[in-house]
Amino acid sequence: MADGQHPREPVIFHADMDAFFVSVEELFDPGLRGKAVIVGGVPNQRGVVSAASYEARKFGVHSAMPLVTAKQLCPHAIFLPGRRDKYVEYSHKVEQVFRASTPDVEMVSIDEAFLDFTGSGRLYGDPFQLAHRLRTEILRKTGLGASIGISRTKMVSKVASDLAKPRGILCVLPGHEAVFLGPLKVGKLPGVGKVTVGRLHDLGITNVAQLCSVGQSFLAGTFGLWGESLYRKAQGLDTAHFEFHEEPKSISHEHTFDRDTADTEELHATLASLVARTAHRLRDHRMFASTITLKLRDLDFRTITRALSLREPSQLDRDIMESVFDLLKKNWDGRSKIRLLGVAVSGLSFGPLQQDLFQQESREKMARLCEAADKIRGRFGFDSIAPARTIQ
Amino acid sequence: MPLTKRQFQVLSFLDQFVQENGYCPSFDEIGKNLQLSSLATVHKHINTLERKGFIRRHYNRSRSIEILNREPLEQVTRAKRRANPLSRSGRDVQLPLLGRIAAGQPLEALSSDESISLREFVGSKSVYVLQVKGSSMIDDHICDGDFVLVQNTQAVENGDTIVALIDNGEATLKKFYREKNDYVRLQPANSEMQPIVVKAKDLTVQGRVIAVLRKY
Repeated sequence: MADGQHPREPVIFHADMDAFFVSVEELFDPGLRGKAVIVGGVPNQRGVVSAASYEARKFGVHSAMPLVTAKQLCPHAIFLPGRRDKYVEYSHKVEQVFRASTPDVEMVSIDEAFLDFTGSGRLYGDPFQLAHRLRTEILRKTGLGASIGISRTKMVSKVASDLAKPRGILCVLPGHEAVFLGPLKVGKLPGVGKVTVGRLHDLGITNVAQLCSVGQSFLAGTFGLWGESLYRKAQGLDTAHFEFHEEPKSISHEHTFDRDTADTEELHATLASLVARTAHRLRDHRMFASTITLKLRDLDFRTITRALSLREPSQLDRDIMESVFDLLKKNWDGRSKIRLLGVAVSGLSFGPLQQDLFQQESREKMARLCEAADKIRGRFGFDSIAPARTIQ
Repeated sequence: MPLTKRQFQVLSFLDQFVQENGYCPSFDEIGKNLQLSSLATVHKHINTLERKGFIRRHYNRSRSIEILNREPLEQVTRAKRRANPLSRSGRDVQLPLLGRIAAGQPLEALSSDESISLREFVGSKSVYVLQVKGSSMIDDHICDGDFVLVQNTQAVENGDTIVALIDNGEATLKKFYREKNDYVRLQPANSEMQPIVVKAKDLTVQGRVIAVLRKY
């Protein structure tokens, strides 16, 4: 394989430790090996799973699951509280092995790293063989197992290490990234989360090849600003340097006043402007929000955030504005001076879940108005059109 | 319903493109390949193929043409096979032999829990998984017991590692190089082994290696 590779072709490894916390615990208690082990605490009321051994995973246990649920699924598992200091110590040990092989190491979490071996062909030879040696060295120096994905890009290498797990090395040959990704489920692409997968499934798109075949303009039309990244990912191209490289989870805007103020008119005007910007971005993403959050900071730098949920998800200025004014009324005494105001929307989805039949018509009218405003903004700039309230 | 020569060419190109790339060509790409400068002509052929029931289109999406009726393409494959009894279609053979030892099977069922993630590829028409037997690729660090992901295609280039079926019934994992006078050299990545040189017509390319996996 080495002789087929151009010397300048990027070679990116994604190294991912296998069941890291559990593996470290096994170093201290070899009796744990081969058993169902769950790290995260005692299965009482609170607490979630930090890590589960592969034996425990067979029962459906996974990270972030409540410990109580884990106990139900796997009652015979050994529950451990976890020792962060030890995990950090071993993470450093593994990092040292990485850095001994190349200076270009990016630790992305306590147990994952990207390593750049571009141009090291003459020194180290074939990447697959290099990964084998690296894996062996990690095992020798730390006693821990790793899986490694190799390709031309970070994203494909990450997918590859995920498929190689546990205790595996998967090398995707240059030029074949799109074919490799084709049969995989869309959710396997990094940055493609539940909400996006849900909408793709609604459209009948389940694997990456289908995602490619619908084309960029369709994806941009359906997913807005994030659509272009989706299309690139489907082809195995990196998007980390893109502004919208993963599913949006929240959108917010804030304003700090030059002079702290308690003037209701001024506060309302500012909020209206923040809402307009936020809603505009929401529509650019083709998304709807179900939770609205107001952020208030007073002159003593005390900051509060208060949120409420909408009856149905919306992307309209009007709905967000109503909520924000409501939150202000309920959480501001009308007298204290305010230093900063912020508006945030979250609980994002790609479409309304229910329609309130009676308000359907006025919603459609409002949607058309917003669309027209967006078009004008598109041509003449954001501030060319503003709700009357913002003009003082 | 009979197809004209042009319509057959369009259908054939669609089929080949999808097999090689996993997705559909655009109208532009179809036009280029058939040397049609007018996209309107491509549209006409596509419409006719759809009307005759050979393909189905999904609207509001580019690159989403589905082939419904492959019979004309199969007929050609069968005719080719009749003309040359030594060549075999990839569809017949239960995949292959890697190295020079007894034939292996494509992974239809994965027993090991360890390989659970490879299930994504099992049943895929564009990529399949084989397990390597033998040491013909040892110099490339592909060892006995490793897995290779193979793209289901016949379009391969010099230097590609391919799965090839040769006329004596063997299937093998080798590097592919075109030689003069329509010969092909299948080069093992093992300095102790000799290359196999065959006539291109006696060789059926089953696929090209796109990834290598080793489990510990």
